[in-house]
This record gives sequence, C-alpha cells and structure tokens, in this order.
Amino acid sequence: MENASTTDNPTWPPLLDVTRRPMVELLANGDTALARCTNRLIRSLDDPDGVISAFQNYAFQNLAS
Amino acid sequence: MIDRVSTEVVRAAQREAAAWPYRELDLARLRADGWHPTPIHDLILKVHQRCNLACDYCFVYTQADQTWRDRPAVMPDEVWRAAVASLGRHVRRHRLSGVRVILHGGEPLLYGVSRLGLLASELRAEMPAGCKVHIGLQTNGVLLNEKVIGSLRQHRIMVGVSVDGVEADHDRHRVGPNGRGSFAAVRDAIDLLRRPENRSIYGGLLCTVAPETDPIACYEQLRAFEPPMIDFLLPHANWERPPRRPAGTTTPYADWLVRVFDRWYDESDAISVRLFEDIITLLLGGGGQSEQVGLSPSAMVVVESDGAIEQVDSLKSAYDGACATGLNILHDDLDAALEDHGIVARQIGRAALSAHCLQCPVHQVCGAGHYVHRYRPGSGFRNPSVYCEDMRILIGHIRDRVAAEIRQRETEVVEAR
Repeated sequence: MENASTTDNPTWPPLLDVTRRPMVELLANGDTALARCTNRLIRSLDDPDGVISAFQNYAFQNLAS
Repeated sequence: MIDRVSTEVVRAAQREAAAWPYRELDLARLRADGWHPTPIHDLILKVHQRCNLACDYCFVYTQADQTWRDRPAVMPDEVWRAAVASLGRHVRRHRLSGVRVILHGGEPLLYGVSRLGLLASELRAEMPAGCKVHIGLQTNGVLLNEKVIGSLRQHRIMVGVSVDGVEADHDRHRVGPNGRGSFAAVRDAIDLLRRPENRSIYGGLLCTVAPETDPIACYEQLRAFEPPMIDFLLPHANWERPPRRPAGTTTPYADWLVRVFDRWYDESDAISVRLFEDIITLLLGGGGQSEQVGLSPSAMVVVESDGAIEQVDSLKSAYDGACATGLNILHDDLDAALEDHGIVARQIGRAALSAHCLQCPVHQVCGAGHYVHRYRPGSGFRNPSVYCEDMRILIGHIRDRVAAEIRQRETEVVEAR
C-alpha cells in the first residue's frame, strides 16, 4: 500500500508504518527533516505535560517535545 | 453578580452563533466519561491593542470582531499583575513543569521595553522553582532596534517576527498607515537579530501564504534571514468567508506549500518549518504542536488589555464576539476558563470532529485543520476545514515523499549487508 501514490488513492492509510524499522535507520543522515521529526517523537514520549498544541501566531519551535 | 450576568449574556450569544460547541457539547457527559481538562500552557497577554501597521488581512482590525475598539489601548499594570498572579496559582495547582507567556497585540513593542522588562521580571519571580518560564513576543519588526533588542535580550524575551517573503509581496500587504511598505524596516530588524550576540532571542519567522506569489522566492527570502524556524500560516477564512482562490485554481494553497516543501525537503535544511515538521511527525504517529494540524489539546488563553479572558484572537475572523468567555482575570481564576465550551472543544481531539471528518482517514493528521477554519454560521465549529482539499493534497504529498525516503533507506541498508 505504501507504494501507492496518495494523491491518486482516496483510501490511503494516513500513518506511515515504521514499527519494524530500526530507529537508527530513521535517525541516520544527521540533520534531515525525517531525523528531526523522529527525534521529536522520541522526546515527546518523555514529556511530563504531553504534546500540546501551541499558539500559532508566535514563531518559536518548542524543542521540549 | 454583575460578572455572572455578563458571563451568561456572553454564553447566550455564543449559543446563538455556534451550535457546536456552545449548545451541543455535553461537558457533564465528557467528565462522566473520564475526560479531564488540560491546564493552560500558553498565556497570551495583549499588552497593546493598537498597531503601527495596517496589514490588509489582519484578523484583529479588518474582520468580523471589532471588540478592540472598546478596550484600553494599553494594558494597565493591575491587569498583567492579576494575570501573572493567576498563572502562578495555576502552575502550582496543576504542578506544571513549564509555561509560555507570549506578549502580543496589536504591536507589543508599542508597550515600551522598560514595561515589558518589568513584566518579565515579575513574571519569573512569581513562578515556582522548577517551572520553566518561556517569555516571547511576536512583532512586525518595525520598532526593533539595537537598544530594544538589547533590553529584550537582558530580560530573555524571545522574538518572533512576521514577514511575508520578498519585498514586493511583503509590501503589498504589510503597510503602515501611510500606505508605505514595511519590508526595509523589518529586514534591518532581522539583520540585528541574526547577529551572534542576539541569536539567543531570535525565535523565528511567521509568513502568511499568498497563493499568487512565487513560493520559492518567498522561501529563499525567509531562508536568507537565517531563522531558527519558519511557519507558514493559511489566511484566516471559513465557510462563510472562503479563502481567496486565483481564477483557474482549485487548491492553490496546497500547490504553493507543496513547492516550498519540496525545496525545503530536498535541501535537507537545518531550518525547521513548523507546519511541515508537524505533518511529518503526525505521519509517524506522533503529536502535532501547532494549531494548524493534529489533534493535540489546545491549552492557551488570551488576556485582553481590559482583563477579559478570551480564546485565541484568530477566532475574531469568524463572528463578532467569537473569542469571548465572559470571564475577566481581575475577578476570575484561570481554571474557570477550562469550563468554557469553546476552550473545551479544542481539548477533546476526535470528539470535536464532524462525522464527515471522522470518515476520512486523513483526520488523524490534519485534525480537521485550524479550528477557526471550520466555522460555518449556525452550525459553528464542527465542520471540515474550509481548506480541507488543500490539506489533503499537502499531507498526501508529504506522505509520499517521506514514504519514498524510508523505502530508500531500507534499500540502502539491505544493499550494505
């Protein structure tokens, strides 16, 4: 299913299944967007306040989660 | 007694304007089912109601809600002190590990840096040890100079700047009262923020998407400012006032953002783009951190210059009074806001979505988009986003690109064995 182009397929599954992928594979290649987002996801597991939607009209990237 | 009457008047008006959430959300049922409110994490203080620019798309001055006219131009000291004290109690009661206070307007720098510094000092002193306090402001940049930036740095106040791409595009919308563009002043301000000694308070850039502009030129201009982060905002619109779409286009906002995404993704830029990183994180199964996508609870309230506790002011684009809760920081506790149906509706994830959205698999990522963009007169905020098709195209495209990269990495690992 993941090979199908989502723009042509109205029933595509939205989430990417990476459960069988080693984390190091997703974190490889340094400061790529995928590595940053994987890092963020991992950090969020440890956030005592949980992931919270932040105020949009303020430009700051919350790195805590 | 007067306050209770006022609150009831506000709630009656809200019930009339928006069936969801004000008539249809069953708070007692939610609580019975085990739901608990998320404490306030972002407190937005509208320290100054006026602005030194007159941007043509501004939701505060040019759209449905005109309540700014009836409020003090400058927030009195007693109002922000009441807000600081209330936030301190809120943090202690809920044992919060961190809060953000965002100084907003109008243009918050009109308040004066010495008063902003005093506010920041008293705020930090009021919060309990162990609570991380982030203080920031969002400015149009025109009043930022070396002295102002030095003072903000001294008080550890982060600075976000609003800039709409290249000079011609920026100056078309972001103009002063005399009609002259503000780009040159903003560029000078950002040049100061980029200096090594000031980078610690350089928060990032906000840019409103304009589909008639060149997306790559816009992105490259923002990138040249070397911000730690960029966010692209969709212009506020709803089903009554749909977004502007150039003739011959169906999803111009997605088309524009897709081009920017590809440039950003292909170049593996170290600059974060909040909207794109939120979507990728959501696609990986994580939570979103912004109002535009995802189902994370929204934990923010605004305190207006007269002390009114309100929802975020982007709601002003929906209808007159859309932000109102009827509460006031001079008399009411912040926890009272957690009882407001409008605030609750933004904390309950899937339960706030329309049947249409729940049938669509993309809702796990888009979260029905920005709450403001769901508004339809009468029914209220339980609708798909007016940007629904744009969001579906953008999210689908990002998913395709990320899935392809994951497959590529898998192939490289197999070949390396």
